[in-house]
Order: sequence, then C-alpha cells, then structure tokens
Amino acid sequence: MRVLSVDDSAMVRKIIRGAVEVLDGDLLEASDGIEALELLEKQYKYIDLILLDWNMPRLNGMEVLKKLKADRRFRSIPVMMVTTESERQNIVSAIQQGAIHYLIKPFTIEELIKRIMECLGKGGYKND
Amino acid sequence: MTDMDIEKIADYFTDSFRQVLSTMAGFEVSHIACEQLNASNENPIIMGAMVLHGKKDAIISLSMEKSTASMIIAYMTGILPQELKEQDLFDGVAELVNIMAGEVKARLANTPYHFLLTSPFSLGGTNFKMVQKKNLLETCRHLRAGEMDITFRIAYI
Repeated sequence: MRVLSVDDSAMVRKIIRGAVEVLDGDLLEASDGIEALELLEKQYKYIDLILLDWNMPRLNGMEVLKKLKADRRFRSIPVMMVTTESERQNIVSAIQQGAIHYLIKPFTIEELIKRIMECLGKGGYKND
Repeated sequence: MTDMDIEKIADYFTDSFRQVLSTMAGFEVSHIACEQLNASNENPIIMGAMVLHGKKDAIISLSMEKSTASMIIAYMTGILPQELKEQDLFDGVAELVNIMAGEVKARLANTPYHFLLTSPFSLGGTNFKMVQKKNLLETCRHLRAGEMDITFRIAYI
C-alpha cells in the first residue's frame, strides 16, 4: 500500500507517516500541489491513496483535486482531504469534486488510521 | 468591535488550542492568570503567528519556549524530542497556529468576525517581544500544560 501525503506542514506529514507505517505502507510526500502533480506524473500507477491538505502555497488542495479528477490517469486514485477547513460548504464542495473522505485537523492518530483503512476499502485498493 | 468581543474571540482560540493539544498530543491545558506566568525570557522562544483577514484584520500568535515546542511536537508526531530538528519545531508551531485558527474560522463563519486564513509563519530567538502600536485592540491568554507555559495573543490591526 502506497500513500501520497500532500501537505505544506512537515509535522503533519510526519504524523501521517507514522499512521501509514502502522499499516505497513509506504509514504510519498509532497509539500504543495505542484510538487504533488509532478510526483504523480511519474508514480501514479503505484499510488493507492492521496491525503490532500487544502491551504498550500502555489497550488491549493481544491485546485489539485479538480486537476486529479479531470485527468483520466489520476481520477481513480481515492483522495481524502486532511485539512483545517471545517466549514460545511467546503466539505460539501470537496466531496462534490470527488474526494471520498474529509478529515478535519485536529485528529487523533487512531482516527487517521481508521480513515485511511476506510478509504482503501472504499476507493479501490489497486494492487496491480 | 468591543473589548468584550475580543475577549470572547480570544477564548474561542484558547478553547481551540486546548482541543488541538488534547486531541493530537494528549495534553490537558489550563488557563492561568498572567501574573502566575513564570516563563523566562532568557530561554529560546518559538512564536508561531498568522494574519487573519476579515472586516478587521488581526494577527494571532502562540509563543512558547523551544523545549516546550520540542515536547509538544514530539508527542504529536511520535518522534523523540532529541531526534527533532529545529526546522521541525518551527514548522510544528506554525502548524499548531494553523489548526487552532481553522477551528475558530469555522466557528466565526457567518458572524461579523469571520476571517480568512493566511499562511502561518514562525519566529525564534531569545529575549524578543512583539510590540504593537499603541491603542490597538489586543488581548492575551496564558496557558499551561503540565510544566509548560504557552502564551496566546491576538491584536486587531
């Protein structure tokens, strides 16, 4: 299982790394949307889940989500938003754009692990 | 905006900070009176801050000793304090401000005090103070988690 964490906070990426390691997975990291898209160009076939922050420099999470869902190579990769944006209209908007889950910071490590497992069960665990 | 409003908003931020530390690090945070604060200026401090854009702009900050930041980030990430780099502490304290502000943003949505988040940043050093212009509407809260002191400030600019 390989997860891509897209977050401008190294601390959040470290927390996510801890959770993914508990699940015996590998973590790829990107610190903004542009870096994430560059990484996906090369590695999209090997990524099972994307955890996407909303507020990031250069290209924010919603813009990344729209690009992912508009590209047939990337659109089947499940995306969970992991963000401080907790207003209802933002959650609805992200789900409408194709995110399959929405985790609001702050979260516990247990909650994060549970959501990752749900995403992998729900969104197609690509094991090809 | 009145003094009472800013006090209420400061309480929202401190409630949010309590929730962040309790959820992500397992720390219980209490609110202590200013005069009980015994943080020394001689120890290195890390301050995370963010500008809030609203009808009236504001700046918020969280200040703590470097050793406090190290302990909090260690509990949040599961990484031993001695293995954390200085950059991890600066990044972590800025993210604490970001998470704290995110919850309050949602709470104040659809009120006259709603605001937009900006990119958090952090400052560090020894014996430094943030000095605002006179007559700004500002307030602070001192928080304690175990032996660790943290100061929250908000100023409408």
